[in-house]
Amino acid sequence: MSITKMKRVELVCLAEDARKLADELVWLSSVEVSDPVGEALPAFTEKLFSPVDMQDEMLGWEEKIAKYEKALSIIAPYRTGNALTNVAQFDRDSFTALADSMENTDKTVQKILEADALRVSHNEEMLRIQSEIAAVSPWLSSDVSLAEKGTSQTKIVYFTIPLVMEKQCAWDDGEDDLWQVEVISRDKSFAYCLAIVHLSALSDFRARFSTRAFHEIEIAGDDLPQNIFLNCQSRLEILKKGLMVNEEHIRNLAEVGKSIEAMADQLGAEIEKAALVGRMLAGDNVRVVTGWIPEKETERFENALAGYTVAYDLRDPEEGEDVPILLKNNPVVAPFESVVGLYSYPSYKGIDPTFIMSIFYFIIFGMMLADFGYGLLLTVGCFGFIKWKKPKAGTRKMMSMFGICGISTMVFGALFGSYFGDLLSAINVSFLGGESFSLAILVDPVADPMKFLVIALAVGALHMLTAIGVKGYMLIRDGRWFDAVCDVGSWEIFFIGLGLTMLTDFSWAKYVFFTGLAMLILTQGRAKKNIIAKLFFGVASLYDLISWGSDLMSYSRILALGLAGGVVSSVINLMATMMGPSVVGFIFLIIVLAAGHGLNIAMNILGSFVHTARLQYIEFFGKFYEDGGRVFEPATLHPKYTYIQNR
Amino acid sequence: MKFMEFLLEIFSGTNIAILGAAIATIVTGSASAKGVYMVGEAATGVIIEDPNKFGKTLILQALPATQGIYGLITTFLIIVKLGILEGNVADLSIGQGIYLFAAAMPITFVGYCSAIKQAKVACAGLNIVSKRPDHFIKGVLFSAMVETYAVFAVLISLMLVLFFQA
Repeated sequence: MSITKMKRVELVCLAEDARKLADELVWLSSVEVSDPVGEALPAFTEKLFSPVDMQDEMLGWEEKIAKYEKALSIIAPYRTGNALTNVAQFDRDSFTALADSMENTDKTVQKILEADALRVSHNEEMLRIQSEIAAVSPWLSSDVSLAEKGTSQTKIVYFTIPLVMEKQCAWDDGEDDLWQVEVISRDKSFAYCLAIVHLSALSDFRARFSTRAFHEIEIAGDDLPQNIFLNCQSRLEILKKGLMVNEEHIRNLAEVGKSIEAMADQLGAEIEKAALVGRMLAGDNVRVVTGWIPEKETERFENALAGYTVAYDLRDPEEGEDVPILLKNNPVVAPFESVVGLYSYPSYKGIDPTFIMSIFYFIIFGMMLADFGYGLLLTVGCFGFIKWKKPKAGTRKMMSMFGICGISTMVFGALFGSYFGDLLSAINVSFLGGESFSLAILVDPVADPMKFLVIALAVGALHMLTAIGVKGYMLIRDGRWFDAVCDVGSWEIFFIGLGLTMLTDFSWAKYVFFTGLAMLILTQGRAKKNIIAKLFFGVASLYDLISWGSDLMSYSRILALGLAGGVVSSVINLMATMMGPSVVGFIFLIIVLAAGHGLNIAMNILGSFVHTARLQYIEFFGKFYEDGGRVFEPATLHPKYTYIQNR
Repeated sequence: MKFMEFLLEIFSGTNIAILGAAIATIVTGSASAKGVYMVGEAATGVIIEDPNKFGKTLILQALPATQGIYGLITTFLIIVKLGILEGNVADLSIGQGIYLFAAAMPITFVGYCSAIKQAKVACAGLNIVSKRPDHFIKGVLFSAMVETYAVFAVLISLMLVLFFQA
């Protein structure tokens, strides 16, 4: 419900304590350390202090983490299911103790990387051998060693020739039998031939045979093709065995995947601490840290620093300082902070809109998705995911938010009689031969869309009136009573009067409306100089009714989205129950329902999320919100693979 | 007179009204699809640079979708007015059919133009997201201004359809 009060912390510690202090602060997870480069520091600091250069160290850590990540990806295919779902848990002592076994894990990682390199080189070698085999295999039945290139008078020529030309060559021994051609083998399109050619006739030979599309081949080798082939085969066998042994080796190494993950997170923690040290200013014997800390955390901060020789100052933020924003809400409302964060954080002097926005987000999301079955799946799915997969803070918040909105979906689903659409009714009609029925308590959107539209617009009107109400609250909080009454009060009275006049029969309703109207005309021009201008601009302010009307029309999207989901559900149910009450029909029912409703729920959740957020941002926030805040990012651990309890 | 009967059969009052309703959804839906596609395509460029901006770009992408929704509800109201969902289709005269056809036209034309233009403004708003993400809402508001005229059009369309006596 509020923006956490922050204190500016400026700390001086001994140089030798810098690392330990960084460790303390990272585990404290409450201090955002400012980067001294961007700060406006007093002039004397330049003479006394200089920034700490941690670039080399950070590079070292990052290289190490890259190796660990690579090792993890290498052993990933070999890790069994259990290893992947159970998340390792640590507390501060056990996590810090991991550093002791860093050397061992380093060795294991090295072994994994070497095994992978071996695998790669073996595979390359195997490819080479296979291409050797491919080169040699047409010549297997030749009894001439490849080392033989010819005699002093002759040359051995290996060539291929298209099969269609082979007939022509068969009788051709050259003038005076100066060459002899032997066909070694044939495949689908070529004959592989060996020719022994007298050196004097070599060019003739080549000339004559090139008219027959021959292609001379150079083959390297030092033995009969048959022997080379066998040699290659045996080399392949050896390599294959070597690979299998290697695979086993990697599989065994994969057992320690969990400890590699934990160590990777440990390295991540070291990087965080190094980054923090990198933001310190260094003097000869001291280090200076500046940053922000929430007021409620100052006691833990002081306790954590009790054992160190430090001097620090905690002061309130001054005007114009860039204070980071940490929103504080109760656990039910807190997940909706992610919607606020998506838009923009409030400025430090503004207000935290999360609570009031969450109520409307909850309601409007439920109205758009409006299905009991979908809501149940959403809630169970999201909270189940949180419980078993233990996601990181950002994802966790979003999941909680969807889970909570699932409850609203269930409520509105019950009100609109939608349990996976009209599934029960469709089954009744198709399988049981009964009549179709509606389970709606409040309104059935498909049957009575006008009523739904009126409800949607009514929710929209309430939403917008609340928005300017918040604006009024902000004005009153700043002491601007008169402005609150004139700007906010007059519109509120105007609309309430309008609503009462149109919807009820109270005789005094129109007096409320006229009061509001009068207030608007009299007060909206009050900034102007003379009475004519004041009244003129007062009347002109009624032009704003157009923008109010346009905003109200936006809420008709609640009708559209609710209806679209409901109608698609009906069609899916109709298709699913098409086959009738038989065994085949039942199987068909299950398959179509699973696929169809699965698709429908995915699209509708996305649509509901985006459009509800859009309504909040444009129609709601637009009326009172002061944005421009920057989110509070404390120095803390960001474990990727493990779950750390640090508080 | 067979041909005339044939024509009248095709262009009966009810059919003309359905034609208008269908055109409303067709045109506004296509325009919104095109608009959303334009913004989505440009948004991938922003995400390549910084994946954390996904939520903001998603909001900008959702903005041109409005016109398709408005066309949808106009069509839906015409369907309801014709009594199709109750299975009791009203038999309209040609004049009445043309009335409903004309009632669907404001949102059809204005929805088409404004969806495309709104998408162009939203694409420009993506520049704000990439360079100055804290001010992205200004881009959203620029884009939402274009929607005002689609709102006027759907208001007229809905009013004409709502107050129609079958």
